[in-house]
Amino acid sequence: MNKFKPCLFWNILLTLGLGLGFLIIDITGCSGQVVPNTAFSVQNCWELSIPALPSLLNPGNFLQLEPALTGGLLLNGEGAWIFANGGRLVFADTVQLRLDGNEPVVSNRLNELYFTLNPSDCFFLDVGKQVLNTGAGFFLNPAGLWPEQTAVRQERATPPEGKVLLRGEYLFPNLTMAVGWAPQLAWAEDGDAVLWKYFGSPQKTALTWAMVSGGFAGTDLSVLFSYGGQWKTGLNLAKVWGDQLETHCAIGWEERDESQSRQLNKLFCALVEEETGASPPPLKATTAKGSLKALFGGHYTFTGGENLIIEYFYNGSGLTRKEWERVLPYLTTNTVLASEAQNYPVVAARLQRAIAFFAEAGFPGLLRHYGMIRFYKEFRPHLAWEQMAIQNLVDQSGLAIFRLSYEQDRYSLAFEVQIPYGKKESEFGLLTGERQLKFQINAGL
Amino acid sequence: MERSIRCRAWRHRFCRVIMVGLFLCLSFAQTGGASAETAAEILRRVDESRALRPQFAFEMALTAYQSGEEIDRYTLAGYVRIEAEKAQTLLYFLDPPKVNGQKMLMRGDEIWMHFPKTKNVIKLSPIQILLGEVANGDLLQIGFSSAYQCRFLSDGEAADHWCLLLEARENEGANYQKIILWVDKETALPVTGEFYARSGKLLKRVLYQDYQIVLGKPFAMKVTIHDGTQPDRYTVMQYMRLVEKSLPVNYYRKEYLPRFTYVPLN
Repeated sequence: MNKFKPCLFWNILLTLGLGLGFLIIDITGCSGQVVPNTAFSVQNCWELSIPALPSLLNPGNFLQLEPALTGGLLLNGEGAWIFANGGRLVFADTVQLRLDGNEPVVSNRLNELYFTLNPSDCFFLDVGKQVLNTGAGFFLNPAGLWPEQTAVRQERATPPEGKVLLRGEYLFPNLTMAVGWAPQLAWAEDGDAVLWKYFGSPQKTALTWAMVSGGFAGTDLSVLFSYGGQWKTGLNLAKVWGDQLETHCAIGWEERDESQSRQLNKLFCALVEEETGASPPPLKATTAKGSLKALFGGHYTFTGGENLIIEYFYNGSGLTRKEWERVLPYLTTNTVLASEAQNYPVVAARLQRAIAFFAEAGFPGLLRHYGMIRFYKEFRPHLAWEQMAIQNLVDQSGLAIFRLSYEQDRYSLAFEVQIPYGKKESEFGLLTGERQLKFQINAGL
Repeated sequence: MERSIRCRAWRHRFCRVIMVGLFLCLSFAQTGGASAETAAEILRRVDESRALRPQFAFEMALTAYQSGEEIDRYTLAGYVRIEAEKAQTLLYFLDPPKVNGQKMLMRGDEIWMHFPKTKNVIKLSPIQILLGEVANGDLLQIGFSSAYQCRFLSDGEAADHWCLLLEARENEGANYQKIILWVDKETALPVTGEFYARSGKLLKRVLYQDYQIVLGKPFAMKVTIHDGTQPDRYTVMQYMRLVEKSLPVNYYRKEYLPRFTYVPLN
């Protein structure tokens, strides 16, 4: 079976980005002591999208996508001020100016704004919006506070957005303990809503946590307990073996959310009943008291400097193979229906139900077993090659990413290709319409 | 007659023994080391010369060259704390802008890095490259004695240099399987080193240069590291400033790394 379909250049998403960045050092006139890590950067990014190939989510090019040019400016600013008493103020913000519509649209996202108090040498108190990232996983962090924040996403996206929280951290001689609380902050996720437009994302549930971290025999260890409506516990381990190998694992267990389980089963039953007429049993993951997710991985550095990361992810809340095979016929039927224009309303309604199910189930990441690999090599001077693959080990579909970058002190150039592969009736086969070609330039003054 | 012959023979043998003994003593005096100082003692003197103070800080420029052309350059600030012959080092990357704000903590043989973009602390292996020919573990190496056992290598010895063979001790965090170190006999300061991998492959050659008196001790302000297989590739570690500076012991914790920021050396 040919898993890699060739990238068809007339059906690709072309992204052209132009970025300008400049660094300002030593801003004076501010209260407190200024530290030389205050920075501003400006990016100018444009994307050209070209109609995608038909897939099970776009049968017969039903969505009638047309070429579209989108883009604008991103202004990123960040700074840190340290006061004589050891306190600290940290600020990071992103302003976006969209220029692809009839009128320019300005929006803002406050990434971080928090105070740190240092009542004693070993005790720190953080108040405000802050990015907290834990876990050694490169692709995923199943034992983290907010698992969606991972290194691979943040290397490619705009600066990460923090959470509004209150946190206390105490450094004991051999371990560290932190307790924290992030309140529920709800507002409309609407382009016109002021908070959404200028402050950032809401926090849908409150979260309270305690974390203990330390190390023994060269192994980093952290244990997390949190409650945000459901109990969650997590364990992170990382260790370096010899000179070249780092291994890590992250294991998280989360109590099942009854209302989410009911909703997911309702959507699943609706799909299967409509297709087969018979009501299926509830999803296996929704019958257990909780779900286990685990990531095991390693990072090997070759003597020439190349890096290889391999990770395996077990998703205990995912669909089993049999459950997935019940969903696929619902999608393949759409392909038959979409061949006649009179069926378009029916196809639209069916696609809406399918997308709602996928969104609830967590797509991509629907099934249970995934393998990830990343290879990185630097060619001097300043040239780097990176290739990644994320593969569903159940249906053998996946996403391959290739990236070539050239970086100087104040500018960089990157060329990236993303190719989903696999059968049409597979998880990543649903993304075969999402082949992407990205070309990005960032320049600094 | 017979008695006088035996006496002469005895005196002859005695003189021969004295002459051999004198010759050996002179030989030991000339080598000046085998009996006057052991290899381990010399290595300890080398280590002492590299440990300026229990706590000190530096600013350093790392410049990578290929075929004589500069291809990359980092400027970073480092803060060192030495306790029980083990060094803890904090690094803050200052320049260029692409690495500004990155932080690294080295404690014993463990290394962590914090990237401002991902806000995450990750564990690194010593062999991962800092820049050019400089691996993370190279900056860890304040002293050799704890990680290597040492003996003289007579093949490499010269009139003014000792040649020491350092072999990695098990489980002591040695970054290299073997090091051959040439040490100046007069000053007990390292001059040149060859660093070998477990496979026996020569990984790098190091030159210790530009010794200056810093904080009361001679210190190599310039260290040039040549690639073992491609001599036209080399990296220069140039210390720009070295000062005595102490930071709270809490700073040398991986949990503190996200909070750590540049502390001016003045």
